Order: sequence, then C-alpha cells, then structure tokens
Amino acid sequence: MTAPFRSLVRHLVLATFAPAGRGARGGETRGRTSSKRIAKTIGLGLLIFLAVGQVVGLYAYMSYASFDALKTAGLQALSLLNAAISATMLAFVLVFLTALSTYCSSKADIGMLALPIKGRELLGAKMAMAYLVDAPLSILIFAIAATIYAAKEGPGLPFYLGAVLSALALPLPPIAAVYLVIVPLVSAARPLRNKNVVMVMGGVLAIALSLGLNYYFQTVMPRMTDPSYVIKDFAGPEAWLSKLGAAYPPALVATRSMTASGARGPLLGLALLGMGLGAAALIALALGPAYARSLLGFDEQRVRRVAVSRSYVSRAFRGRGALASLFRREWRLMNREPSYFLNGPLVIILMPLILGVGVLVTKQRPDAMRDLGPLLAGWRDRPWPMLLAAAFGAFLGSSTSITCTSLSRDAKALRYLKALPIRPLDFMLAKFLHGLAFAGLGSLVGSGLCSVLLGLGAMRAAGAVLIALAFSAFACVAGLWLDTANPKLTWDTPIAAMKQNPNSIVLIFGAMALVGGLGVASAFMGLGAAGFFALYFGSFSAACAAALAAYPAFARRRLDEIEI
Amino acid sequence: MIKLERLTKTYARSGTKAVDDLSLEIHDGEIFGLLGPNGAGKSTTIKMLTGVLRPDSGLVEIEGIDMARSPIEAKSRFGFVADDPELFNKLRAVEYLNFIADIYRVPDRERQERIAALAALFRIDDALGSSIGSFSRGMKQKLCLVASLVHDPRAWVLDEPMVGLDPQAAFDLKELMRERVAAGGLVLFSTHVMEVAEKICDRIAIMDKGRLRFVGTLDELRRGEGSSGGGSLEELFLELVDDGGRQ
Repeated sequence: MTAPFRSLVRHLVLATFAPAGRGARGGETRGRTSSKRIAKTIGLGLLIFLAVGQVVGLYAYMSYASFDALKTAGLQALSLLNAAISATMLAFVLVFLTALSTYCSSKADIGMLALPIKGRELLGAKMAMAYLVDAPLSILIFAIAATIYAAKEGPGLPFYLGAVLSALALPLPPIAAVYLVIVPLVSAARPLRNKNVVMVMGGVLAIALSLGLNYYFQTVMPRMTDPSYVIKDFAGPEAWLSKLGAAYPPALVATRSMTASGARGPLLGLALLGMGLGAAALIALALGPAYARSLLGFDEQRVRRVAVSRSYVSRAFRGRGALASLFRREWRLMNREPSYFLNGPLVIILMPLILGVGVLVTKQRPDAMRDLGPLLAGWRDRPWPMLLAAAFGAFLGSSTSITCTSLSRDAKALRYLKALPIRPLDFMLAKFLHGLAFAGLGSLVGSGLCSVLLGLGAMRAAGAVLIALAFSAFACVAGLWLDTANPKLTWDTPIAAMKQNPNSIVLIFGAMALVGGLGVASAFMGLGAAGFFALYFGSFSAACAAALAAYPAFARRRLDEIEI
Repeated sequence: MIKLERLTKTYARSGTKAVDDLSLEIHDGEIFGLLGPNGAGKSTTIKMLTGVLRPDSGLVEIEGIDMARSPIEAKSRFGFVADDPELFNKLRAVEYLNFIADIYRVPDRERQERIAALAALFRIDDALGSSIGSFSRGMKQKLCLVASLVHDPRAWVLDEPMVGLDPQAAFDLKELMRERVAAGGLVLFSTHVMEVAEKICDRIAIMDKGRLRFVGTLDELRRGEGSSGGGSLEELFLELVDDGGRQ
C-alpha cells in the first residue's frame, strides 16, 4: 500500500465518519458540546439499531427456521451456502448504491486530480471506503447464519477461522464487480457524469431495492415454518440456491471453508480472502486511470446564452407578494435539489408503493384473505378503520419532515437573506406552507388510499383525511419549532443539512410514537367514530393553532440571535 | 447617511471580540472604503450594519432609521452585495432577480427597466434564463450586483465586491459607484485591494483587531501622526497596521 493511498483512505474515513466539529475547542461550552455529542452518538446508534435491526431480525428468524427445516433432511450446511449468497447479494446492492453516490461526491474529489495521486490510488481508496461502509452489514448477515449453525452443531475451531475469513472475503468480489461495471459506464455515458442524474438513479435503485426486499420477506416469511417448502426451495434440483451456488463459486468456497475438516477449511477461507483482495486490486490497477479521467469535467454545467428581447423582459419580470415569492423559492429549491427531494417529498410516493406490495402479497395468499375478511367485516360499523386510515395518513404526512430542516437548508443563504427586508413571519410562514403542502398531500394520499382499501364510506374517509391533515399540520409546526431552536447551520454539501440533522429523526419517531400511543389509548376509550373525530381533529387543530400563534415571537428572537 | 455609533460585538460561541466600540458616519455623496487585514472586523461591521448580526451594544442608523427598532424599513433603504455569491444555485437568474424585486416590492415596469439596463451593463443579459449553478464566480458576482440595485437604493453596501470580477466588470463597477455617488447616493465597501480603495474612495476607514485605527481621506492619512508623509496607501496601511500590532 502506498502512502498516498493510506492518506486518501484516512481522509475519506474522517470525512465520512468523524463527527462535525471534531477537535473544536471551546472553553465554557466544551462540557455542553461534549454532552450534546454524546447524546447525538447515542441517538445515531439507536437509529442504526432500529434501521438495521428489523432486517437483521427477519434474517435471523429466517436462518433459524431454515436451519431447522434443512436439518430434518440432513442438509443443514445449505443454510451456510444461503448465508454466503445472501451476504454477497446484499454487498453487491449496497456497494452499487454507495459507488454511484460517492463516485464524485464533492468538488474535493475533483480537486484530488490536481494532486500527484495516481488514478489507481484514487479508485482503490474509493473501493476501500465502500468496503468499510457496506461490508459490516454483509458480514453481520453471514455471521448470524454461522452463529446459528455453530450454536446448533457445535463445530471445532477450524469452523470459526473459516467463518471469519469468509465473512471478511465475501464483500470483496462484489466491490470489484460493481466498479468493473460503473467505471466504464460513467466513462462512456456523458449524462451520467452529472451529480443530479447519479443521485436520481441511486434513489430509483434504492426504491426498487426496498420494494424488492419487502416483497421477498413478505412472500417467504410465512412459509419458513414449512420444512417441505424450505427443502424444495433450498435443495431441490430447480432450487434457486443450487443454481446460484453453481454459478457463483466463491459462495461454495465460503461454505466449504466452514465445513471442510482440519486445516483445509481455514486455508480455503484464506484463499478466498486472497482472491477477493486480488480481484479488487486488479480492478483498481486496470480501471484507475479511466476513473481519474472520468472525473474531469464531472458535474460541469453550461450557461445557455439567449439574446433577450423587450418582450422577454416584460414577460419574465413580473411581481408578486413577498410571501408568495418566498413560498415559490422554497418550492423550487427543494424540488430541484435531488438530495432534498429524495429525502423529503419522495416518501409520499414510496410508502404507498410499499403498502401496495403488502396488499399484493396478501391478495396472493388466500389464507390471509380468509383470516382478514371476517375481521374487516366485523370492523365495518366500528371506528377502527377510520382511525387506521387517519393513522396512516398522519404517519405519511408527518414523515416528509420538510419543516424539520427548513432553516438548516437555508444556512448558506441566511447571511444574505437576513440583510433583506423580509419579515421573519413571512419567511417562516413560507416554510410552514411549503411543508404543509407536502404534508397535506401525504395525508390525503395515505388516508385516501387506506380508506379505499378498507372500504370506508365517504363521511368516514373524509373524517380520516381531516384527522390526518390536522395531525400533519401540527407535525409541520413542531418541525418548524425544532429546526428554529436547533438548526444545523454548518455543512459542506446540501444533503448534510438533512442527513446530519437530528430534527427529522426526532419528529418522525416522535410522530410514530404519538400515533402508536394514541392507537393503543383509543382501544380503551369507548368512543364512536364521531367522538374520535371530534377528539382528534379538535385536539390537533387546537394544538397546531396554539403552536403557530406562539411561534412568530420565538422565530423573531431566534433569527435575531443566530450568529452567522 | 449611514451612522454607526459605539458598536461592539463579541461572538457568543467563540468569545472573540470582533468589533470594539466602533463609531463611523458615511455621508451621502461619498464612496467610503472599509479596509483592514483578515480578522480586523470588517465583515462583522458590515453584518451589523446590514442587520445580519445584532450588536451587543451601539446603534446602527440607515438614513435616520434605527436598525434595531425598524429593521424592515432600515433594510429597505440599502442594497447589499455579500462577500459570497454562492446563493440559490438551483434557481434561474430571472427567478432570483424576481424574488429580490418582490422582496423590495419593486413595481413591474421599474424592475423590468432596471434589470434590463444593469444586466446589459454587466453583460449577463443573455444568461438570465440560465440556472445560477451554471454561472462562473464572476457571473454570480455580477448577478448579485444587479440584484442589489433592483430597488434603486440611495445607500449601496458591498462586501469585497471586486473578487471574481474580470477587468471590464471591475471597471464598470467602479464607474457605477461614481455615478451613484454623483447622483447623491453613498457607497460603502470593504476591500483588501489597496489600489481600488486608493483610486475611488473619497474617505477610508482602517480597522485592526476590531478597533478603528483611522478614518479620513488619503491625504489626511499621509499627513497623520507617525506617517512618513508619502508613499502609497498600501505602504501607509502596512505602517498603521504594523504599529497597531506592536502596540
């Protein structure tokens, strides 16, 4: 490894994982900053646990169930092959998304071209970073299956050595394969050398992945307790596992590294690790120069020069009120920045799609519909379907969390905006209305779709939508309060204003907890649909009005205090 | 007229006293240059003057309007060019200019005439339909200059306005400053470029470590106590700042 390569990897690791303000010194504020950082770290840990925990939990259950089923036929080693293939596929998908989004993530990447760094070192560092970011989840998936196998079979030391070496090795070939595809692709296709295009592509792939995973888990999970299904699907002549195992030798080698007797197992694991590292190094060597060349002119934009006529000027420059103009600015800046759009309004499209997958899978299972039918029929005259539709709309409306980052997104412009004669009330009201437009749409889509699925009448459907709207409006004001009190005003890339901003997480989880808590409380209230409507619509509307009324004075004071 | 009286500002987060008891008056009909080394307090002064930062103590008045009491009215009285033109890259130039004109409530006819004239002066009229993100730094700076004059203010405040401008645009900007002052307006700008200040400023202020070291004309600076009596503004500036440093 060369010194520039090591320095580059270190630089990328620090840029990706080091907390903001690392190494900052501050006399009196040090204690407060330190406790804030600890709270943020704990929060981030919890978030990762929650985000990864669900997938890991489902996979652990699947591994456990499939092991038991395969054991009845003496084929339990196939659970290791399944783990190796799952870990490889997961690594491939995750690395593909990482490689796409970090291909040229900032101007600093292009600035590297001015330094005496070889293309192979640049690409090698990117690949190393992709490994550090994405391999842990792949290793975890593999480790779960290996641990279940070890707990049930009690193998000797060679098993553990082989497992560790294979777990480390399995993400390497996917990394090499991904860059083997992506570097020539970006080099050849000029439109791909644009950050926005790359980000939209990544977003679409991520949606496809989440929908695919959702479909997979919903289809497979209910059948895992049926040994005949598991054996047929894992070990039959037409089983996908057999086909994939035959087509992808590293997965078989990984399995053998754990099941072979004596030193042969760990040696196979070592060979797999060596081959993986060799493949990655070969790609970095071969495609490094092409990668460096493809960074030249990345994200370059051209000015469109058009001669202006008198009629163009009188057509283009037309006035409107300050609030309307501020609202349009919010709307345009959010919807034209892919990183903002993907992390905000897109959820309104994504969540109904996931719901659609759920409905599709449920309809394919006659047993599920058989169980669900009487329940829904019994519910028809009760308030629960309306509350369920309201809850989904409330969740969807609040999860756009646009107002939670409204001030943070303006951090770079705040210094200029504060010098303009803009009334703080107009400024923040435009942000509220912008958030409310999407939250309202989310509530309408969420509650509307759910009402149709549950067969609600017009009155109850309208009730559900109105409750969801009131809740979402309240969530918008809460988000505005949060971001005004605790904005993220220092960031390098626009996405950091959203991704490194705890306000969205606080609001989304807070809203989920509130919806869940109220759902449980509702079961004990004994109210009818009209009573629930009056209670929830009234309470959230009143809370929203109260929070809005108190907000302007707070916003004026905070905007005045902010030092930029 | 712009009046700054006994302005003091200490940043809460770092505890740094950026401006210390600063008093200045900038009169109509003059080009006023605010000079000083890095960290002298020029930008903090301009931020307080434009209402971006609240001073710990002291008074800011724009045309007799107290910034603390009537910020919206005070801000309507000047045009401002910030030191960083990296703004709203996702907007098109026409959208940005309309936004600024809406904020200053400029009637349609006036905004159309002024934008057309200023955009032509700075040679960005054929790029008004383009995204600001596609502009070079110099073009963005020109766009900010056009935006700052869309409401035809009497007072024009510019933070490091020459950065990124090509020689022709820098010349046009200096001419425009003179024109506006000749029409009774005032121009206040900060700069590191001594030659620019020397050529166009009627008066200058030199700041160092948050304090005012000198206010007056270049001749007054040359005649000042401790001055060698001659030399360029650059030499005089270095003498003054160096003295301050030693003291």
